[in-house]
Amino acid sequence: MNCYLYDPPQYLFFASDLPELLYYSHIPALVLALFVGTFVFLNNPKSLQNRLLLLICFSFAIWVFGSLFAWTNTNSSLLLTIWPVFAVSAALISISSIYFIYVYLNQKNIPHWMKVIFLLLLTPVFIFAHTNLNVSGFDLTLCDAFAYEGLWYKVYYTSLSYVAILWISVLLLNRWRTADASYKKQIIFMGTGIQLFLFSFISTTSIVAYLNTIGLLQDSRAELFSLFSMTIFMVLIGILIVRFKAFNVGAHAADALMVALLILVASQYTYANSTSTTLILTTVTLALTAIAGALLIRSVRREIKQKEEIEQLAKKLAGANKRLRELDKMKSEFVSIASHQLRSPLTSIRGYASMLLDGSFGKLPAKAQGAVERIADSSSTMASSVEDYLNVSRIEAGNMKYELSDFNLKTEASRVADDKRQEAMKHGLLLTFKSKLEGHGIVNADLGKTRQILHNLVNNSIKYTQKGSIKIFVHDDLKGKQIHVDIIDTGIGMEADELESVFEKFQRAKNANTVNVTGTGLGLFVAQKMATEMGGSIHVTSAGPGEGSTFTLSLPLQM
Amino acid sequence: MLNYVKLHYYALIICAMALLFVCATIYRFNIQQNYLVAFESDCDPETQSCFVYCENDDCNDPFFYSVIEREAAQLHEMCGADVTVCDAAYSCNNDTTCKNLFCDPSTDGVGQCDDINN
Repeated sequence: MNCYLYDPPQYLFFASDLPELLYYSHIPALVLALFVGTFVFLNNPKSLQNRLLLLICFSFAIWVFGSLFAWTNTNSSLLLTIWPVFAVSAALISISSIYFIYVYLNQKNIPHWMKVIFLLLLTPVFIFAHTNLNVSGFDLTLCDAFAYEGLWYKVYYTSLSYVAILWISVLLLNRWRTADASYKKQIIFMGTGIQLFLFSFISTTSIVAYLNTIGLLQDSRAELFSLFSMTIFMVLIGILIVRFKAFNVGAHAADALMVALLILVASQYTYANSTSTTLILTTVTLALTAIAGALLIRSVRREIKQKEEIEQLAKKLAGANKRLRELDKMKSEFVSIASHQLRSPLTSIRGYASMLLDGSFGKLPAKAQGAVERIADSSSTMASSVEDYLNVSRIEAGNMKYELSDFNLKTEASRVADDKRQEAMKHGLLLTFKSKLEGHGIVNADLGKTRQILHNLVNNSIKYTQKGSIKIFVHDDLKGKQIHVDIIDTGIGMEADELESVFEKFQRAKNANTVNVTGTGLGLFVAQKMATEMGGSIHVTSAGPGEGSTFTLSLPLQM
Repeated sequence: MLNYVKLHYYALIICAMALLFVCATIYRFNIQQNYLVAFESDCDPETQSCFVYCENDDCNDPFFYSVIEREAAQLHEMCGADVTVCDAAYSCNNDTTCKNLFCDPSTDGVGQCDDINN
């Protein structure tokens, strides 16, 4: 049976008495949906989210194709064969959208129970699509079947869309709570796109169809606007692809989006009046879009290429960094082994030199006395250096052991002052000790390491102080639960920008060469690492070059 | 094979339902033509309660009609694809499935009906 008030179409879809908006709303949306869906799918066919996006786009394309067919054709049997497709494709779009959003947000498949629910929801739509519950007849005058649609079937598949909108909102909100700033932007783009699409597509179609059914609206053209929501959704998908590399689409995404834009503009030919002005304007718009598109593609490609190059460089850098760490570890192991090998003969040299000086092998000739003293001094310096290397090796390998115990820091600082006083006096320096404690001064730390730190700091002050004094001052801060040992010297001091770097390996103050000092440049590094490991810290202050320095060891008080 | 079915049961069930739906729809509407068709028929407003259609708000040239509803398969057998050239299409004589529907203001709305007799 043919509708008798309308002419049959030419070439399946082309009829003269249809609204101009029809082709513009249908063809670009259909082409764009198929294009983006297929493009994303082909880029990674094994990805579940890409397959689901294709399913949504494909279902939408079938709906649009059916709609275009229904608008332009006049054969009742063909139109009624197409009619149930609207319900089935709308239901598939709704359920697939929930599935798609779940996979997109969680990057994993939905659980088994959710699949069962989806199938249960879809089954009635499929089973009853061809029955009178869906559609029972056809109006040859109006050339549609709205008057013969079953109300409950329509209510059921339309409500699936509203269920989808609600379900998706819950999924988006749940993911939003745990998302970082960048992913929140993706959620906004994706959420806005799919919710706008679903709401506009389903609501407009169902409301217009319902108004048609009850006779309040005779013109079905209003539903044509609903299809533009798919274009918006696809544009937002495009933004996700380009900006956030969603769907694992690479550098060709910009090209693809530009082609889509050109299709949109070119589609104006399908509905524009064939006046020369309109055709010229459309052609000019198309040309300008093509030029702008080409520039955009070039720009985006360059940006993506640079981004990829940076990523490759970062990968290489990470590899090199790993290799460097391995080499550093090997170096530390080598230094450790070498230092251990050196320590034994050095101990012998120091021991025998000391015995020679003590007269254990008889009185030394006056000429030999000076030489043996040099041997003893040099071997001591060398032993100290070897100890520093070994400490650095242990720290870097994480093998430094700390045996914590409670002891009085004031007492230990006083002992160090007593130990080092003689040496300071040799350098013409006055070493004094002073304390001002409100508490008992007990700390929980490694006694040996703490003494070593204090020795290092005092040695450092002696080395870099040519004249004046060194003061050791112990004080506590009960509120801050800290005890501090200040080693205040009148030495060469340093610039403000050097204060932190002196704790780095092999670092010295810029003006260190003004005094003739020897050493490895590791003492402060080792001291600070040890203090940090024991829950404390070492800080340095200086009023500037020539103004002396204050090194402060801080340790937590045992309350 | 069983593993493949277990893994893809969701897609397989959807595809199976889609295939059944397509086959059933084509069979009903194209092969059996098991549906109703409605079309307008002449109506005399002097003797019948007709639907009325106006071209404009003034309604100075109203068109009066009734609606005939009958089974598509039967109609197609009688008239082919075009009902406008088939007088038999407009006559429901001896056909229990054929209905000639006239306007009823209580169900169709007052504005839809010719109010000459009302």
